[in-house]
Amino acid sequence: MKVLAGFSAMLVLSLCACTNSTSVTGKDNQTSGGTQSETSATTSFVNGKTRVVVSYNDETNEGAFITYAQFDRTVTAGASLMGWSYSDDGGNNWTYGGKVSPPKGWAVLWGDPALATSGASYQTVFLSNLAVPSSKMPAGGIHGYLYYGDGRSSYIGGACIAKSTDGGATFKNLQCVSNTSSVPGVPDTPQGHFYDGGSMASTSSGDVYAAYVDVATGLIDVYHSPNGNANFQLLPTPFPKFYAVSHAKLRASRDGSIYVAAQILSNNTAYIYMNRLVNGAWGNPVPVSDPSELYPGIDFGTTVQGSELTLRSGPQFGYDIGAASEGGNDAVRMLYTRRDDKGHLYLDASACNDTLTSCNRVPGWRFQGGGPNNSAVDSYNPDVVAWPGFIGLPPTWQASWAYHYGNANFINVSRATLGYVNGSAFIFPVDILQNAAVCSDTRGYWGDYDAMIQTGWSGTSSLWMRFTTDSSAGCTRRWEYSGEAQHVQQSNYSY
Amino acid sequence: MHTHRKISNMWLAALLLAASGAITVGCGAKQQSARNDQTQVNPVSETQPKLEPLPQTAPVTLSARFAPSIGDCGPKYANGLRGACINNQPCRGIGIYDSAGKAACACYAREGGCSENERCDAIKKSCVPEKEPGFGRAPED
Repeated sequence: MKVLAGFSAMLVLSLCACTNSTSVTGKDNQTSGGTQSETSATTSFVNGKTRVVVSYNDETNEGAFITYAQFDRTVTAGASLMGWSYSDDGGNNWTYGGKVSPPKGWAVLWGDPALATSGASYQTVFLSNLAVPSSKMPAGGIHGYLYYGDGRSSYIGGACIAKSTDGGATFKNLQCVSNTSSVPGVPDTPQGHFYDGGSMASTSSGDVYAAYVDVATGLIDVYHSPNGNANFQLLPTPFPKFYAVSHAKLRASRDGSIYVAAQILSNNTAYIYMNRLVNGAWGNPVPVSDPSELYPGIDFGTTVQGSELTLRSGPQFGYDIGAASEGGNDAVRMLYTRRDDKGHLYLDASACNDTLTSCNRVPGWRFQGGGPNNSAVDSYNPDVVAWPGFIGLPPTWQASWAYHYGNANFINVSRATLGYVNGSAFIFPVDILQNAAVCSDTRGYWGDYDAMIQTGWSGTSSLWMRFTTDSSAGCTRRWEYSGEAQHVQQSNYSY
Repeated sequence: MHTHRKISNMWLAALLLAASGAITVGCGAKQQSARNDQTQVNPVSETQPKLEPLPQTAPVTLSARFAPSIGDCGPKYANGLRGACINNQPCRGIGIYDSAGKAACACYAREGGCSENERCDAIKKSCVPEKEPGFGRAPED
């Protein structure tokens, strides 16, 4: 298969899937003056139409609450990054939804968006953001980073969940969640543990789940609401004996079970573990990867606005639950990021059966790209999404990721079907976005992660959408905490 | 077996060539489907795929009980954060209780904490160069 891997690597730079890409934010009067990046997305069904909803770290009209100097950022009470947009025509046109303001008792809503649609009511959508409780908010505002002490302490002390009953056109605060148990050595934990990331999922019964990585404890905190009408309660942690080091990712299965995955600390590396919640009880944590990269930086080998460009990245795995091949050993499929002997990032793959009792490597889905003139490629931020199939609508597995090569300030985005040719696992990458200019702040932030979703159907063809930060308006400022322009774009295709 | 695999690879390579030609030719002004991919790659295999089993355990770090930092001897890192003060000794890490139940310095998997030019990163839960900005990846964004 080495021949094939090399061949497909060569193709990745020469093919275009003829996708349709449009701006989500940045072209309208409301969002053009701010920044938007780092996406979570879902679909809802309202008034007989499918609506695409995307949330992002939204600094639209935040000048009254967030101010910048070249090496500082000041955040004051009232700031909210909890903004979103939606489209009723498959991504051609987008409406800016606005912001949710911090609820009583909470000073700041600080992004890391997570979205989920109720599995029991497709016009009900949930949106989560990290949050700063008023009890932790310093009177003079927050300067610089939001953490302090030894790094396990933070002004962030939980997360807030908002709810929409009109398919994502409007959201209202529903409930904030916080873990206030005292952790030795982390003095501020009684005011709420430092949460990072955010992931939500909902089963067909309407149960709603939200998960965060608890930086103070190194555990994953998963909350459950039986019906999505508040009352989110903390569940037992899915990886109780380990240190979780990445965001958690939740996925719901059609059988009502919930899957969680996170990168778990090992010596100088991290392994991805999964667990499964069945009838309210977790099973045993299971390793589902070889050693994986944890929040790698991608050195672009160039400078922009006088500063070197090294991009930060997000959780380096994507997975879903869907249709399985004969034998059932690939009902769960995952792409994750590794680093090769020459220091470059590539994608590896694994698959498990739906009970997680059998997990395997899938070398045929491994992707080590090669650029023009045999230049090295860094592939990162993989997403995997399954359509499990339904009557007349065949199952499929789609994946996408970003990649960079050469010494230029751009990235491309590829997609592929995770499938088989003649019974052999096979991946055939196709670009869906090319030469997207990058303009991070000088920390490397340009949106750490981006969403991929299925948006519907055109006949029997499934429709897919992947989001990416959009700096096509130029790169006029790169400060420590601020890169401009940063907006959101989407690339969609049918399969 | 080897011969069969070689033939199979050649067949797949030929298929790829055909597919690449089809996609390249198929690109037009309007949005087009990725059906070329669909016609060649099946999302599920009707025969049981040959996969490589992963080990059922991984060499991950077991979590320890945290111990409080006591005193002011914790080192200050270049980014403004601090290490811990454990047993009256500066600790480039956090306090944990070891297997004997005694407070000890560690940076999660690394016993004794980080080296002189490193700091213990609470997000990555490992030692990183002390001058690495923020957390390399600032958690709040």
